[in-house]
Amino acid sequence: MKRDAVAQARRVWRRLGVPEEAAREMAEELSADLAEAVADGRTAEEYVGGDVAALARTWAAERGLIRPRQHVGRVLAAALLGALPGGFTALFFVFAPSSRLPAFAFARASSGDNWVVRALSASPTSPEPSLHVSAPVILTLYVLSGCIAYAGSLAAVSAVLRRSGDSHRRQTVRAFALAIPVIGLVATAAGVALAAALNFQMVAFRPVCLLVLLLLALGVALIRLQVVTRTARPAAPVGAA
Amino acid sequence: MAVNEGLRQQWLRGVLDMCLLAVIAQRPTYGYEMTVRLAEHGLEVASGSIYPALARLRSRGLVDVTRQPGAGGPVRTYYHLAADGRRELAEWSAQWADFAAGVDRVLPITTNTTEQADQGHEGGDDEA
Repeated sequence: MKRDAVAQARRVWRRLGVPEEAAREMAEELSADLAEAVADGRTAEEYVGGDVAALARTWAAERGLIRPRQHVGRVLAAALLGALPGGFTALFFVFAPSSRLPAFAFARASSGDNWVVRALSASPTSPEPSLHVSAPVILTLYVLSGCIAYAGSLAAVSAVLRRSGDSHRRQTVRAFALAIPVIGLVATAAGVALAAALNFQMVAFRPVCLLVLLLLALGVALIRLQVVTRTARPAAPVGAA
Repeated sequence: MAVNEGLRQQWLRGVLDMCLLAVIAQRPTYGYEMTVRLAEHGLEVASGSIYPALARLRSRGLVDVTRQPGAGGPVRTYYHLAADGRRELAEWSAQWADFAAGVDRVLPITTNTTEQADQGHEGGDDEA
């Protein structure tokens, strides 16, 4: 049982990501004390108290050895899903219905079958009755979509971390609030650059979306990792006789 | 009087850190020895409580740790009282003395009040 208890504690520490050196130190301490308890006529169960896993977990937690759960995948999913309403709003403006005008333009609008576009202004160049939306208006709509995506993303990340009982929720949301606009601008600039390189043709739409999503995901993951790493409590040093 | 172990454990949880510091203050010691010395004073502590408590004291810088090879056995971890631990122990001891004195002052009142109430009931029964 003595060996079982120590081995079980070590398994728990391994699962919790406790550094090997600290785990070995605690295992030796427990093993030495257990040996003396057994030599004094006590059983290992009596000494450990039955729940070895709980002891191992609490011990490591009090030592500050448990790496905080990073939940990067969960945070990433929340950030991207929360941004979807804003993202769809932006796509709605990008794809104002038309089959005649070159795709993938700022103001891709004609034919009058879209109420948003129809509400704006008419194109002077189109041979058919069509609508033209000025760049500032479209840019404003994009910014509005970005704001919706931004707020949705922050709210979703906050909600998911609150539900998980995450101890870094406030720091994460605060860091995201500051960093997401920057990441968004960088991703958008990279997307526009790629689209420009491909002459804003429809064929560029998918790679541009993938690039923007990839950069957003990368930025979100890096920020979350940085927040968790920075706020992790350092372990107490070990003295040597 | 039957000993209510659950109640004792509950009380002990509140003062375990202070008791451990007091034991370590007598001489550097290791986990198992602490449980034995506490048990000699009627304080039974499971190792499930003692190691996390020692880790907590260590994280707060109240104890220092050294590791020494046992006599032919595994390496043993000894806990020493740190300077901050000595200060903290003095402060906790004073606060505990004050708290315990307050409890002591309240308990006789409760006992007397209960006895008086019992006597009142008995007197009333006699009159009736």
